[in-house]
Amino acid sequence: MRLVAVGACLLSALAACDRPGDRSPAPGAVIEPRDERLEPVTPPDLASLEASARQAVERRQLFLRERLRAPEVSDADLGAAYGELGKAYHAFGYPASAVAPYRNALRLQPAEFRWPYYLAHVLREEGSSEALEMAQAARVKRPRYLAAILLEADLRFAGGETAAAEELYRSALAVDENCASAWAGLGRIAVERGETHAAVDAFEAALAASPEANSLHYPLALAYRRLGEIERATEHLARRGELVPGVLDPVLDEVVLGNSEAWAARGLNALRAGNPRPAARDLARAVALAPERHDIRLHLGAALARLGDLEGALAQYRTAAELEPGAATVHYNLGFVLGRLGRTEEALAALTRAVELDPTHKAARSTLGRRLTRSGRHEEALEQLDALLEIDPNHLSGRLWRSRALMGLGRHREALRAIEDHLALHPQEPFGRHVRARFLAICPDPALRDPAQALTEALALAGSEGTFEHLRTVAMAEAAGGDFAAAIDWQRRAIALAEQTGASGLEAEMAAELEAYAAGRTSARATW
Amino acid sequence: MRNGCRRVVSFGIGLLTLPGCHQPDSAAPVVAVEATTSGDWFVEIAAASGLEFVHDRGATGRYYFPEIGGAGAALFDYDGDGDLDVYLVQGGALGPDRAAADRAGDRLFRNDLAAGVPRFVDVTAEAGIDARGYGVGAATADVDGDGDVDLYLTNFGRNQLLSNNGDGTFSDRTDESGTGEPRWSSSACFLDFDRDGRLDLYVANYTNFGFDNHKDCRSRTGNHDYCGPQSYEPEPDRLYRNLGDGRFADVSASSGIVSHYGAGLGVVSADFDGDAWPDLFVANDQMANFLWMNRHDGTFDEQGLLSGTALGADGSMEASMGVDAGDIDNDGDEDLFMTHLRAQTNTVYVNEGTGWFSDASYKTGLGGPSLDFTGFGALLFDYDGDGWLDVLAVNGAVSALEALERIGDPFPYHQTNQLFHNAGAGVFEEVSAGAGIAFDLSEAGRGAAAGDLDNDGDTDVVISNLSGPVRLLENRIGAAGGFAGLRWLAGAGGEAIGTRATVLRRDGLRLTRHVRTAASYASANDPRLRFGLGGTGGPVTLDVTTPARSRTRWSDVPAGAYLVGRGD
Repeated sequence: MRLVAVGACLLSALAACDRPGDRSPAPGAVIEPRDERLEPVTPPDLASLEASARQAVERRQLFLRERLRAPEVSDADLGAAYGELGKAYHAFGYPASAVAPYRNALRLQPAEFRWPYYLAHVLREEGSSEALEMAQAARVKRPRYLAAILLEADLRFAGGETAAAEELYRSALAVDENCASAWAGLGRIAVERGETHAAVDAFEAALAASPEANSLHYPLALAYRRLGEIERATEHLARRGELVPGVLDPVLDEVVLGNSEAWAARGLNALRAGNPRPAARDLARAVALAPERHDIRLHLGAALARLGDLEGALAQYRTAAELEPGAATVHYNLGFVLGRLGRTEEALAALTRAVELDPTHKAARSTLGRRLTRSGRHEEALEQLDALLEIDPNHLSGRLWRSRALMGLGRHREALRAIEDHLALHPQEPFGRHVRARFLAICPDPALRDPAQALTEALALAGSEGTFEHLRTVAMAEAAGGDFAAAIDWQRRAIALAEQTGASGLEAEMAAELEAYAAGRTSARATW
Repeated sequence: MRNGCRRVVSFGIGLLTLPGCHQPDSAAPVVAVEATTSGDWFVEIAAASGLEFVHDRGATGRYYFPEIGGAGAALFDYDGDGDLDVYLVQGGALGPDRAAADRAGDRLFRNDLAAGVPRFVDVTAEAGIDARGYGVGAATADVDGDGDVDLYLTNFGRNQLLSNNGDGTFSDRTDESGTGEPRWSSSACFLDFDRDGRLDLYVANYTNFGFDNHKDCRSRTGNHDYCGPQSYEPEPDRLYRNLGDGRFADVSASSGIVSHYGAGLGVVSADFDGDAWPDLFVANDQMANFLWMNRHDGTFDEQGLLSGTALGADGSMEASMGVDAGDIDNDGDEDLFMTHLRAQTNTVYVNEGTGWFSDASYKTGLGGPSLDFTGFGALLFDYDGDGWLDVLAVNGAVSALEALERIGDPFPYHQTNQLFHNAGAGVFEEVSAGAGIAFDLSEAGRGAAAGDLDNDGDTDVVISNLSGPVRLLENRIGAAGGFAGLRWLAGAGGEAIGTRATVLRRDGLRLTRHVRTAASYASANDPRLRFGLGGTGGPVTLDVTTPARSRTRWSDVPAGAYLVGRGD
């Protein structure tokens, strides 16, 4: 970012740039060209951008307008201003809008590598066949820039030009013989040609160059399968992941480099759209540029947690808590992830702190109530869950967790009432129906226990839902009704299904239940 | 080309003829098929034929996930009069406070085909159809074996089974059948997985989106936009076994189907490994696809990864939408074609003959041209009757397209559809530009169903658009080179899904096709088989293998007619 160098006007408030009688155009107005070589630039609607991001883009628009109005501006200066605006559009997710300013920049600075290179990227995003032409133009300007060689190679491969693509991948290897992306490209070409041994060699070379690029285990596995080496294929399938080989691309990084807002916006949007991997990557870049921003760290923690990296998430949340100790959500997230890591006491402390900071924080109260229930601290759990239901009388799971706490306190009739209250509010909610079936199967109070009704409800759920927990409830109901043979059968099916679906953490509990049924006993510790 | 009246002969155990048609000539005139350089290959005739329907996605401004999914269509002969009728699935009002009564509901259009010209009449009310779920898809089959075609409807909400009463009306048998799956379902598929002669039902489910877990997703520019499947949890699919008395048993757990969860959008059944048992392929959105291989004992084994159909060629997960199976290289086995999200290629998996596949997306030429499109409807059909299955991709975005937003487009999701010609050597070429102005239409395409709606021996297409009018693309060139047609019925009932038929043409080319209805995205196709003769003329040799593995061979089968046969 070189905005500092482009004139004092930019560094001051926009109003200060206005000369008397000189009204600046609205930010969305078309930026008309200076001469016939150039094309007009239509700014996109920036209304949905975060304020700081919007201002960043508008500053570049304004700067370009200033350059265009200035009496003597060199092509190089004007080209740079167009290019910077293109980068802003590009960085904040407007590739189609970036095309015109990049084109103008290229016309004004034809020797510059970046403009055709960036154009190739945005045109590819827009599905334009011109992307290849631009990629080639860029590569000619910098023939040893790996990322440009690979971009053109990939575009040629996608267009069916395998011979040209192969030549480019090989030229990439001439620059760096350990370029995993180039080896992977050669592997793909070999697969297309049916040259399976060559494919194996290329994918093996790619993995050797970049062992973390675990997505490559999949095409390698299929190549081994084609050779009849099923064992090796299976071995590689088990190791496959989602990481793709990459190549350093400082020129492309420059589009958003130094701009924490752009990285954060990209990451947050990816996270909201349910794509945690790119979200984590972009948010990590934003954190690197703005380590003091606790809000970005919170998002990064969420992305890492979605990826299963709980320790990584914990580190982000801890730092966020140091940066902003008064933010309830920071402590809630900290407590949530500590709970997932099994560090119960620390989780309870963090969640308690979140509730202290914000007594209306529903998620914190709910999670604290659940954690306390699971820890056997039923009285305290009830206190939290009652407070939760006061804040949100329709809370989806509050009454069910309350019923479990009441069960723990031996207040069975109240527990049943809590379940019934929940079902009155949410009659189709499957977890509530499941809890009632289980309650009827396991309630220690014989006046409330109803094995026959439990069995009916559990079978209905097992038919339509089919999770291992439902099968397990059927087993409990059968045991409560005295049919231990049936209970054993259902419990075995539940265990098998839990293994199939990868459900973990309940193996010992379920095995103990099976043992109890085999001994002609019901399970004393079952709950929900 | 329209013949005015198709010719029909009957053979086998049962005999059927279609009204108003004479018996066949022994040999149809041979017409050479040449590349058409002028004139529209497909002409859009929906409104002109009375097929007037506009999909309502029920957009609320809240960007509820189902609003972007759209719906499918079904082509089936509900009244048994010999021509295909059209069922169109409708969305409608959506939200926690909206009821079924707020929705217009699906529509059934009867085809009153006259002189080779389809005319459609809305008969929804008189057929007794009341389908006001927030609709997604339709599947068709003779579920109860009484000879007429029943309907299964997938919804965001409870699914419905509508049983054909055989008198032009339907009865809702959802409760009795036990098939009222409440999850968000997309595509469904009938197949006889246990080979007991009764058609079972597979239902692909999508995600656990609900109004209570709705998420606020944004485009890269911060605008409100629709979430992707990864914002929610995938739902397990369902497999229902037909008990034969109107009831289905949910065997999802015992069959192993629930051992893997995926955000399913498309499903197709075929015998991928040639063991004479139907397998299943499920196209999952942004997750690994499933290839369920039938283990012959009521269970399935998920073989997606080792088979090479789970992921893209580079090992990345793809957003699979619609899917179709067919023999694109005429080597006798079933290949797969599926549509994907923008920036991912549409994918062709070529069967190596054993249920193992190779990704041939780039090699076939189908990959590159699809990168700028988000495909939903996916059809393999021989549009020009040359004997090679071609490809139609029905496109429409799921995220707002910036290029359209820039010009102030109020619905920035529309794209054009793509037609690819199979040149016969495993290479496809995009021919959309020459296919007619119907391919200039830019809409948010979703479902696509293929069938011979005017009974002229070629394949027409019905396209259902998100928030747009239905389109009927009438094929004007497909029958020019002659065809051999086949309708194969089960011993006592309707279409014998799973039947395999092979035609040996006079030029030695062998064409293998399978009777199925479910394919594409949330849609159901014409179950009749058409074999393009490519100007080689008849008669041809026909080999039929039924799902029960009885095999019959006929030589001297005349061209230019749909033959109707029956047998288990």
